[in-house]
Amino acid sequence: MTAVSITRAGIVSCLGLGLKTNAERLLAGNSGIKESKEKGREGYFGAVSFTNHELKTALGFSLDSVISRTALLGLAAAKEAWNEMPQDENLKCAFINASTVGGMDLTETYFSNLHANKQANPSLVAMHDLGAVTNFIAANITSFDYINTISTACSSSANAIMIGAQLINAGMFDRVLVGGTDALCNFTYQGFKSLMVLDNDWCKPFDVSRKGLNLGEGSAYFVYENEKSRKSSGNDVLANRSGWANANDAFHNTGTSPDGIGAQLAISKALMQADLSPSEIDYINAHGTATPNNDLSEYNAMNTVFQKSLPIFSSTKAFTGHTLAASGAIEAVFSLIALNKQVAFVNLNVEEVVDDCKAISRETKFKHIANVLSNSFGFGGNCTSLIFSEA
Amino acid sequence: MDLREELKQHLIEQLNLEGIKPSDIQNDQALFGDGLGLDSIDALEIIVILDNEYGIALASPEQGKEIFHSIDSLAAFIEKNR
Amino acid sequence: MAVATLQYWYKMDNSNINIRSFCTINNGLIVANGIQKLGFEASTTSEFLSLVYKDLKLDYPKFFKMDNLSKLAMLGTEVLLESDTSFDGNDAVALCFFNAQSSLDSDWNHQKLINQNKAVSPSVFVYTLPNILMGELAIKHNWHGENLFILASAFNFDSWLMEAKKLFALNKAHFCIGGWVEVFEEHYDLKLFFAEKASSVNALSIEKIKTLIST
Repeated sequence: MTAVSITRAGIVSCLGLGLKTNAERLLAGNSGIKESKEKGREGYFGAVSFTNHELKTALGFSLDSVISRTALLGLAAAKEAWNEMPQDENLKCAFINASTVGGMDLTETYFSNLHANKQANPSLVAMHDLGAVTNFIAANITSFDYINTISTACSSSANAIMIGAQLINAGMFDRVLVGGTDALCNFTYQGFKSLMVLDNDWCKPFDVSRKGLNLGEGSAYFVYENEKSRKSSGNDVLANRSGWANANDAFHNTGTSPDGIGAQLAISKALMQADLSPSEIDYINAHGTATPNNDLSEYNAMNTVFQKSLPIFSSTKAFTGHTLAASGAIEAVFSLIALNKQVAFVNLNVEEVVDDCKAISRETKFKHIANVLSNSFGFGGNCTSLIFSEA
Repeated sequence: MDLREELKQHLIEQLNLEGIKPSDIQNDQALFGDGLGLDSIDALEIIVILDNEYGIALASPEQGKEIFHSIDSLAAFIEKNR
Repeated sequence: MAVATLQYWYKMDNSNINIRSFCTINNGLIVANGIQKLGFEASTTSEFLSLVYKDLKLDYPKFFKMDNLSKLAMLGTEVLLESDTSFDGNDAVALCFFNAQSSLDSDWNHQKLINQNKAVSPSVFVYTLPNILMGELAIKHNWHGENLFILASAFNFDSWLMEAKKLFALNKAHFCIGGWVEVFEEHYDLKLFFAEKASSVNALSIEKIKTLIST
């Protein structure tokens, strides 16, 4: 088995800052999605409840420093994960980040000020690039030997998690920080609104009356360490990343095929990679965006691979909203919490479930969990499945 | 201009229907599927056209399924609702 | 799978990888396998891409709904496949692309509409993600393989080669198409490669390719 050890994790979402708060709210079934009545931004969102000022203060930056919210959210979670691990010059470290928004939150401010003939500060666009956000986070964590940024829509950070594990397996690096971050911004909101995939109410993943998704924001990272690195850091293994796979649905750029071919391929290849049979999966954290299309395709795909013997599953997007590029990493960290607490999280807001499926988790369910499957499917048909196993 | 001709122009421009002239689109021809081959993103663009050009807002793409069947059904809907 | 193979793919020499074909498109020129194939004078990127499309006789109406980044990648892929008559199409082709500016061209088009308080276009917004171009290739050719899009400040052929080697060593794909694809307004630059697992006597020399694309 090519399992890779995970030793540390960090997370920021609308459930709060840090693993502890996120875990508590998940277990309590306490969603962080709130209604916004802001003009031009009406709807339900999983917004992180800290302002940029509060984040800058917490992270030790001056209030007038120009830093993208994506970068601030990312650094907050990355710091929790890295936790000031002392540098060891005998160890090679890498950072694989993921984002789609990057510094767009600042750039859109720059351009709308410019357009309105207001004073527009050009330093706002210095952090526009996804790579710039990655470099900012990296520079404030440690000196990495290798840095990369992945951008594949909603599966971005799941792919970063996949790539990072391959670097450890190959013996190229001893310690790899992986994950992703995205912040809410008008650019994204306007775009998703035009695709008519948003629910104006609180979203209902896998419910027959679901109407669409709620947008969210956040970030999550974890650290892979090989044995040599663990000897140096003294960190215990939290869990193993045991399986991973990516496939393209090759159907439509914003919709998924009815049978979820891409999803089927990703799930079944991840199982093969992990050398596990479907019956050995104890909980599935589904992509479950609550769009009519995704949830049905994903359900059909899971049913096909698991031959109608689905383990307990849930989407946690009614807790956090769809956090775009960060969703793979956020839900990966939720999978780690599931392993740690031996729990399958509740799928909030479901009354009548697709296909009257009994496997959906209607309450927080404590049970033995040895292996968790986490799905992340992005626009462009990009489907990634990850498997996490107990240490 | 006749509403149907106007609609054909809008569709050709907004949906990037390269090499297609208004005379190539029959009024009762199916726009989606095998007809003109439009897809779900094109349907969303037609919703934008309805709003921008004719002041009619549709709440969801599902509402559009019957209305967008052909130029005739689109024109009938616009005439009824604007 | 031998553990040694799994672990040390990055140290492998280039003998397990074969570049079947490659092409570059920039400054109005298309060069395939080191030979200039086509050249067009056009005042805009859009105009250039349309001219190439017509010359290749592509017959794919969806082309005109795509953004320029996707169009460039698609045309380059057609050039690669056109010259590769022994490739029979295989649904496990993996795709791996790099660029520096992500989907900036479409991002800017989307932002302009917002700035002008105009209705946002769903078809423009779809392309505000760089991996959509891979989705377009996958849809046209029915390729279900792994897809990766990586941001990098400049193209490094060895970095791309490493991704392809990794896919082959891990048995994730037998073919990998990809490289560098960048478009912003009137600047466009494509360096596209078609790699295959296993060696062949007709393999294009990797050292020669590196020399050609660095000019």
